[in-house]
Amino acid sequence: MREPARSDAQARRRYLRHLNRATQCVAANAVWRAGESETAGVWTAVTAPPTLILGTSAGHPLYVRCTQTFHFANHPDFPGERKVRTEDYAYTIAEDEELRSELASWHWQPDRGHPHPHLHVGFAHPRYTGSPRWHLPTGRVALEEVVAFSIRELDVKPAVDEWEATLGDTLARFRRFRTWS
Amino acid sequence: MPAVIEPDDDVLSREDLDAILDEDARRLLGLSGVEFRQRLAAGTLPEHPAVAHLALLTGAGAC
Repeated sequence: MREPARSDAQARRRYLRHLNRATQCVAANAVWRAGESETAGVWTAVTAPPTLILGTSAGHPLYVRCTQTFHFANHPDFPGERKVRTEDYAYTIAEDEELRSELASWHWQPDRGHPHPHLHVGFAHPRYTGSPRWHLPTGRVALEEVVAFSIRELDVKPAVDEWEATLGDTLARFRRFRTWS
Repeated sequence: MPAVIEPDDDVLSREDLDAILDEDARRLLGLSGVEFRQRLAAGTLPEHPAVAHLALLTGAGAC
């Protein structure tokens, strides 16, 4: 079902609501908030708390930090409606709260730094010791895909039974209305 | 579908963003928010997974 946004505030709330739904699949009490940064028109969205603790079936916690920036735009398909356009993202999963033991980071910061979406793997190959700073090419990665990866591959315990349906729903909405492919 | 938890106020002020930057730059990198901005502009930040996240708090990026 469509949720038309007639204002920037409605577009922001819709966007954050879906980020909350996806994130709460692994961190039940995490919420997203956003504020306009010192770069005019660019908003930054972060979770509260900024680094989330994820329980795993192995018993040890993992930690995830998720940050996005976005701006508001006219909806290209629905005149008079507003939407959020993601500008950048960074998602990091680590074994420690300070993120020093990084497992993986997905970055997309097209206008600043490396121009293409990419993955950093946080541990070194025995021969290619510079591998943690490689920019491994990816498509643009959705938050939902990172959450699903953490459950399926890192044994993070889902916080809700319906996590697959929830992530599938929010990812489908995201793909339907994104303005990049 | 499970009910989604949403904050009463989903908007962060510029001061809120600055406070998150200052607190986390100190905790994770040993830098104040001001020092972080200076070193971001100079391109002299340490290699640390937190840098990309903290840079986005300023609306800039670094990856």
